Amino acid sequence: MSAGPILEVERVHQNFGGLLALQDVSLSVEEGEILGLIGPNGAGKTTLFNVISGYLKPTAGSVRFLGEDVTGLPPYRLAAMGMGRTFQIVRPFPKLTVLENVLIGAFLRTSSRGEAEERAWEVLELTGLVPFASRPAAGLNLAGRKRLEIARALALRPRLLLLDEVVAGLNPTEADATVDLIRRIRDRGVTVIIVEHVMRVIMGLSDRVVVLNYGRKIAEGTPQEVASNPAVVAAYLGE
Amino acid sequence: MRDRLKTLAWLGAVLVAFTLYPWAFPTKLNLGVVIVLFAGMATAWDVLGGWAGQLSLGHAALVGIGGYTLALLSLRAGVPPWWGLLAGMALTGAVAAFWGWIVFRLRGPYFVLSTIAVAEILRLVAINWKDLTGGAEGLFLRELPRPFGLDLFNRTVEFYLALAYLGVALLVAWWLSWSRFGYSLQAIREDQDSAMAMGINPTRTKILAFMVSAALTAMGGSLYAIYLSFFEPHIVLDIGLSVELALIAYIGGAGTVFGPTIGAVVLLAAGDLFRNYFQQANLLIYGILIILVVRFAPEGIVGGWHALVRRLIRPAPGVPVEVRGERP
Repeated sequence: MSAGPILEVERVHQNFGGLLALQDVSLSVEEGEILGLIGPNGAGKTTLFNVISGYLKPTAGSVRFLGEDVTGLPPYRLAAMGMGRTFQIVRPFPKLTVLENVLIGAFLRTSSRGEAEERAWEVLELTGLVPFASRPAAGLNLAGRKRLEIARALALRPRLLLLDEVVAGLNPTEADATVDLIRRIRDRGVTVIIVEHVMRVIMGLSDRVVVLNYGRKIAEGTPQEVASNPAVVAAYLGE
Repeated sequence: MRDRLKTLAWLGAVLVAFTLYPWAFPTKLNLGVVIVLFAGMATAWDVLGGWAGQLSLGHAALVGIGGYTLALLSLRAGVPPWWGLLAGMALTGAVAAFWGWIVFRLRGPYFVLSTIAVAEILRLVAINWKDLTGGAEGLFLRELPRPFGLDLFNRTVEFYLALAYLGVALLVAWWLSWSRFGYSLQAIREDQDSAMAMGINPTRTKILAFMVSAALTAMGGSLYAIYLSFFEPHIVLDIGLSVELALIAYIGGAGTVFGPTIGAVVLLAAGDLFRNYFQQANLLIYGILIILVVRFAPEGIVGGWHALVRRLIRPAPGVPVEVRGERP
């Protein structure tokens, strides 16, 4: 399955009772790259994530993951196939500790508590959450909860990771740490799609950028190409 | 690992403490059997209601199926009670699988509504299908075989049987407290969408939890039938029983290993005390006790205890923990 793209979205439409949230969106992601997904508020970025990760069944079009048609498969099947995602509005398991949150992800690949715990500590180490392991997740600040979202998804041992605004709302130091973390995740061979509002982050991280506006793909290319694309400039600044 | 063994040690200690009950309170054996049985059934309820967060107000249906299966097989076919008990567990497990398969695909209040409905339907069937169930007059278990010469109608024997049952229920709860299955249930309870992103199939997991909870409840229901020896639909299939099991678990601490047991001891012992000392006022006092727990320990007695310990040991509770940006 190596040769083809890891993810292919083909002509996806998403219709919410007359509101076209996505119109004819296609994109493909190569193994090992970081793809940035940008667009103004309401452009359909999170909707597209929800379609890819199985939370929404597209009105039309298809999603292929690892060469298989996965359109309409439930999220837990996709997670088992190797797709991890975070939520824009973070949703940790609030009453459980940070370690337990990550443990639940690690249990996907093993039923042994010992092995799962080992994997969980590994991920906590990588994400810098070790000092907070025994705190309830509800007690973390925003930066901590966003980091925990990434940690949980990593515990699944994903091949593709969808990150939905994991930097927005963080202070510059926190943001830098997260950017650094995403790079290290990619260096371990995980393909990443990242939705982000913070342009500095997207432009610095992405190998390729796809721009959505009003549910349509309006541009695609390297960060430089996209930044100088008149349609993109118009979408962001107005004409 | 250490926590796991510590909980197991506590579990052993609780069971050993209970074995002393017949010596400590020889005149209160009836109460003892009921406390231990209800502790077990509330723990069984908690598998679904507490750990998986799926509120059931119809567990009387499962108690009733367990009890009626044992009694009817014994009365109509002479089947020994231990086979009746296993048959009741298998039957409720199958009922739960079918029931869960229908209703757990929906989110929201449908499950709890269905539990009330199913239990009421079963109660009405039991009252009206006289040929099978004896109707509202009920059933009378006159005699049962004596395994190893044990008289199953002897209260001391019943107490230790109930205690063995509580031991099984507590072991299941203990297993939930550290295993993958237990964490899947908690994940679903805390956030179903997040749980799906973690590869957990919520419908399947909830059905399994329901089956475990149902079979374990039926086990208690069978023993309850033996303890009652005479029982009727409005005792074992009543919504009051369903609510009581839920209340015991909540007051003690839902989704914890020992919460339902603590809840059973506190509520049933208090109920007995109040009946003796306050006569007609006993329900009033009982109600006030419940309000106090809900007001001051909304997570139940176990949760309230943890909160208290945390407040005493750790300073400045409630302040969000700072996760700074420095690189690890």
